[in-house]
Amino acid sequence: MSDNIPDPFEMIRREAQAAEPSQDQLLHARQRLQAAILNEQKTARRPARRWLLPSLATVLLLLVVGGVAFFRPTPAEAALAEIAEAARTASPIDVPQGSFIYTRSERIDLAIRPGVEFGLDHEFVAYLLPSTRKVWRQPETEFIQIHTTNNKPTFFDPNAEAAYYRHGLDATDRLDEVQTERLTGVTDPILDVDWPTEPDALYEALRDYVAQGGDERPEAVQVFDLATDLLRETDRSPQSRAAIFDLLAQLPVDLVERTASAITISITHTTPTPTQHTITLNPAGLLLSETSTLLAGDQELGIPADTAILSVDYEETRIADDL
Amino acid sequence: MNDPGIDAEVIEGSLQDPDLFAVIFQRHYRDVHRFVVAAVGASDGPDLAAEVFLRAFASRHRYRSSYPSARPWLWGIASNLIAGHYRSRARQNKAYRRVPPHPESEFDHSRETVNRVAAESDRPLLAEAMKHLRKEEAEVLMLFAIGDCSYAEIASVLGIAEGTVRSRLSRTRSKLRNLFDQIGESTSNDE
Repeated sequence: MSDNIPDPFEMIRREAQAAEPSQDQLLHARQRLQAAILNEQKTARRPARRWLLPSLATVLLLLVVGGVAFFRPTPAEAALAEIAEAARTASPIDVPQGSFIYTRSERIDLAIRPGVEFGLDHEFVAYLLPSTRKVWRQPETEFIQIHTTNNKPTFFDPNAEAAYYRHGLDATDRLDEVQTERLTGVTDPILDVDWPTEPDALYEALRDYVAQGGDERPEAVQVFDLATDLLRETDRSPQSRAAIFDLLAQLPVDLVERTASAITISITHTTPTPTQHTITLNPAGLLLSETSTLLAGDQELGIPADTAILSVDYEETRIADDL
Repeated sequence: MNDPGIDAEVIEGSLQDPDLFAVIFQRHYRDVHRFVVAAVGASDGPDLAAEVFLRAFASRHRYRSSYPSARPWLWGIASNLIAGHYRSRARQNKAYRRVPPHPESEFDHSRETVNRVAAESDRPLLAEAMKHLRKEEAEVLMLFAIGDCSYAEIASVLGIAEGTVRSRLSRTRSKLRNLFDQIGESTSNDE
């Protein structure tokens, strides 16, 4: 049969033939770019003001007067510096040939489904879906096995809960069933990158990564998220882990809590949706837990303020000899 | 007008003379437009294509001058914007929602894109076969057949070796041919 069928790539290429931009579209796009160029030129050419020198002098004076306080590390910076030092001197994780890096976590995620699936007159219905996740990763063969078991969800609206079971969505979510995924030859676009181990270079590389667009949150929050990604379920080297903590110390993070066994830091943003992200680390820098909390909730989805829409507790990563 | 040089030189020059960036627009806008419109459709595509150049202009100081052509860079930006478009359009991945870390989750928009293109065609066989593609297969297919990128450009966009691009494309082509056979046979048996 394949002899009669044209090349699949050519089929897709033909189907994807998009029209040339119209003159209006081209003009509009060019005008938007020109406006951005003009805006940058205006900023760059803004003339020095007469009050600039006195202002600079004032700032300088304030810096000198407040110098000691200014350069004193914040509690979060101090805690992260200690963790960075501990991580730097830790022994690297040795993954013997044929073994796996194994991580188990308990998590709660926000799930959103179209209201029509519930037979409800809402555009979307949100609920919290707890799950257990086990990951075996073998870097040498680019092999990953993931076991996910979804558990009983919790709802913000009792009507939605009843409709969930009435419409068989518990079967769709495959509650209490171990779902196994095995992937080989997968190169993770974040974990499998040789990120710099020097903090400033790492910061720059992560900023480059997030600058590619698609996320409306502030850059520092995106970098925080990406840095957290690098700490999960991996065998990152001591130097690499240390650089991540040094980098985190450069972000506008707050120390939430510090005990003998753990520190919790957070970063908060107000746009596009007020959210606080926290991570908890042990003194050696192992990621123990993370949360994302919707500070103002989401009226449209019926999510109350201060709801944790992501909550994960990690067990310590260990080496497993088999699956 | 003097030749402003290769893309890398133009972008470097635009750091001092921002007007120069119009050259990058002039050279690549039509191709970017075609790619983005094919990926997300004619209603949102043109705006997204314009946005690619705004993002590129704003981040041009991070451009790696070791890449002579700006195409992989622009296609990477476009690819991310396409991903963002699918996220926001579906509203099932709001900006605040973080999905479980999953090696397959990063480029799901590639599958969305190839599925969309196939679904809009009048070829049910194609639409059915696309559903079986894995993310890594869909992403090379998207850039090759829809984005009209070369092997080297795809390698740059995805940060993988050119040989890997070739082998993935080859595997994807074989897989699609096999799927066409299987789906075609099952359709004839049903009939």
